[in-house]
Amino acid sequence: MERKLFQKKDIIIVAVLLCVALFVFFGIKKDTGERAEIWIKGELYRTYDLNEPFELSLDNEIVIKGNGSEAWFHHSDCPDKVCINTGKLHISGEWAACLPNETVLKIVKDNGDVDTVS
Amino acid sequence: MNTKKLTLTALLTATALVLSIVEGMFVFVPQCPGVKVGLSNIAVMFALFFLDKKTAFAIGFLKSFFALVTRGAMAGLLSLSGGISSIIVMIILISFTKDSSTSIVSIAAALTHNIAQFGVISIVYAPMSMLPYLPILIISGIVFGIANAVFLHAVTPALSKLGGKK
Repeated sequence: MERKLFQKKDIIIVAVLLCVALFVFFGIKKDTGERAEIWIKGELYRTYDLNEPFELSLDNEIVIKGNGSEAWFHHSDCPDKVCINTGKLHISGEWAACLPNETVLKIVKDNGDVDTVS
Repeated sequence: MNTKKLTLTALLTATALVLSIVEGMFVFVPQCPGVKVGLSNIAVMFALFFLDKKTAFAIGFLKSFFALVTRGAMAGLLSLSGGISSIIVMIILISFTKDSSTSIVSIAAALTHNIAQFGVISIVYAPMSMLPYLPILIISGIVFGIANAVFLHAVTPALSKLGGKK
């Protein structure tokens, strides 16, 4: 194969990308979220206070729970279970998505802009 | 498109489909479900390097069509956005830098694929910030991009026997 698998100058590109990743990782605000938003088919379906326990059961067997500090997908009928495997969320900006059911759980903070890099 | 090329496109598409089904059976990064190696890009890259752009696009579109038929409209849209955008970026990279390595082309494809799919999810499901996920998208793009490049180099001798220019 003519094309090289890897060459010296690739190290620079990879290093720059890693720096961007590290900068974002350490630069981003990791505030505890205040609300859990549940979006269905691109629309905000319901909002819960993350500081209070809640349980939401949908017709399609999805169950989303909150325990007063974290929220998570507890059950879903989807085949891949990516939404459940994402685990428990509490940091503002974190989200879990069940793509087959078009349902997203998103942690947000009041008046906090999750885009802000400090 | 002659018979040989048609057959080769079909074979590579089948390879891409099998690779994506196989990798769907595993969770590679337990902390980040949904992060995939993107093995099917091996078949796309082979088409791009040894055959032509048209074949690469054909594989991309056919793979999306397969996702659409088997897993629904959203899976089809995600497959299409990630697949086609990464092919376009790979073509741009190959045409502008003649000596770019397989690893860099593969990493660029992986990053483009991730970002395009994230964009679609964000538009269709719920507006979301990509920033918290950018580090994992970049790092997995680098690691799995290089892995795919290594795999491509490993299987090239075997795939070349099927046809294509050396």
